[in-house]
Amino acid sequence: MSFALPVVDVNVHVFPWPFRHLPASSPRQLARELRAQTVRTAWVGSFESVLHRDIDGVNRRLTDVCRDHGSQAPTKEQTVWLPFGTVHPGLPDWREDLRRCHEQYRMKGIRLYPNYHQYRLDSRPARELLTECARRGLIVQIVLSLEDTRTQHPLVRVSPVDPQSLMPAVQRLPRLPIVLLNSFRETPTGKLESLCRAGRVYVELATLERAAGLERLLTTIPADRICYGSNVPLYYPSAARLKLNSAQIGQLQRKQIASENAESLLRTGRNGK
Amino acid sequence: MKALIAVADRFGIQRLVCFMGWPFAVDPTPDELRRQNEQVAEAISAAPERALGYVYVNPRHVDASLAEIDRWIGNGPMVGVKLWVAVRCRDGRLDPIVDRVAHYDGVIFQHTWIKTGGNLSGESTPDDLVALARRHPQARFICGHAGGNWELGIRAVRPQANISVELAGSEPTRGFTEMAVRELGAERVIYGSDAAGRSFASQLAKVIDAPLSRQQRRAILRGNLRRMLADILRRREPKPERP
Repeated sequence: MSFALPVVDVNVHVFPWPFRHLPASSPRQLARELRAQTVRTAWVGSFESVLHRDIDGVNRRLTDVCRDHGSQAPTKEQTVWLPFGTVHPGLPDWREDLRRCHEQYRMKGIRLYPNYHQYRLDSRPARELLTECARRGLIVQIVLSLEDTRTQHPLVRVSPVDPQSLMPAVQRLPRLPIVLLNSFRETPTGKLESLCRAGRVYVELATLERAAGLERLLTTIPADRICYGSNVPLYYPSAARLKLNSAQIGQLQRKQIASENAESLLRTGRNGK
Repeated sequence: MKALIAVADRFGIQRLVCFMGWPFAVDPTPDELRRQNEQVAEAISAAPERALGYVYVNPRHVDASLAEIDRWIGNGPMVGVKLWVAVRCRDGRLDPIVDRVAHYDGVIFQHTWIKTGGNLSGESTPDDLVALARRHPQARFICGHAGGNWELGIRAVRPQANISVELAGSEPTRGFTEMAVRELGAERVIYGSDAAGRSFASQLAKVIDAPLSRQQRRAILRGNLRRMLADILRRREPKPERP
């Protein structure tokens, strides 16, 4: 099966996962793996975001590692690493974290972990954060879950985010680009479809299952709202690639999903000041 | 079945082992067992060169289960049994079922999980399967899903040589196949997809991406199950006519 089609992978993390050694969690190994998967651009978050409280330290290290390992002017074989820092609206002075992500680290977007950070997307701080992201022209990635709840460490049991709690924000900010990560694990596709219809909401492939899953998904969510995502290094990288390559879909749809939708999002989001 | 085979073809999957009909029945009655096994038999008859079947049995109904085993394994074409979540498999009611399957050289596929939030009351853990397999050292067992929480499941079955683990039914989390091969040897690891609920892609990636030798990969993808089924399939081969 050819891996030749370049992709933009919107669901990548770097640094160690707290609960298991992952072969490709070091930046060097991850870079090698992304190249092997012909990932042209990786949207990279940090696993440190999940539990660390010094979020700016996390975002600073993420920015550094993306600069060191994913050149902004890559050769044909290299992958561009775009850092997606984290803002935790339950932390004191989170607005400064957001400002730094945007203005200092010049990030294109941020990645939120509402379930691990214990806030609802319809809470007041989350509403304010999303409003501020819209004002700044940032992409917002929302991690609906990281792990199957059945396999979580018993000391860290975290329910998936209910995407319905995002609906008021989507209706209020219909132009805010939102990419839902790991969204198919326990969420009925109908809920995701409603969000995609209500605003500028995208999903990605990492947790998509079922035989011919992508063809099935396309019956409810259009190809221009689906991005390529692998959940590497937590997942084996070929899983997403095989889903995309094996799907019997049109070439136009395949390219949209592989890279064009994500690239379009990057073009339409405003750069940092 | 044809639709499923068409999807499997995209991945080069040559054989599918199928079990359980529709709708899912967690504690099937004898009638439901018969109906579900007939559904499976009909499905695999549509592609006998590509599909094999396991008989769905329920230890709460031992006589009915034995009858289904005789009907579908004794007479063919099925090659093993599927045990799901009706009874935890350490239960003594499984003994006659296992003996009958072993008599026919079939395999016993037991669904297992160790769910962080707790299992269903009749849902087996890999430890339950070890207890059963110890009582039947001559039988061939497959630990379905490797307990889901595979870091625990692999350890649990490690000392019990007549249990192989199956890789399907969980997310394609990195390290699963590597640990299974390291702790059990590649000869005790079997590829499975859990299709159509799971994606062939996500489950196949567990084998494709793990750093294995070509020989190990082939064993996991087909050689190990083929070896487990060799005796029963050999008995099914037509006997040469006497001159």
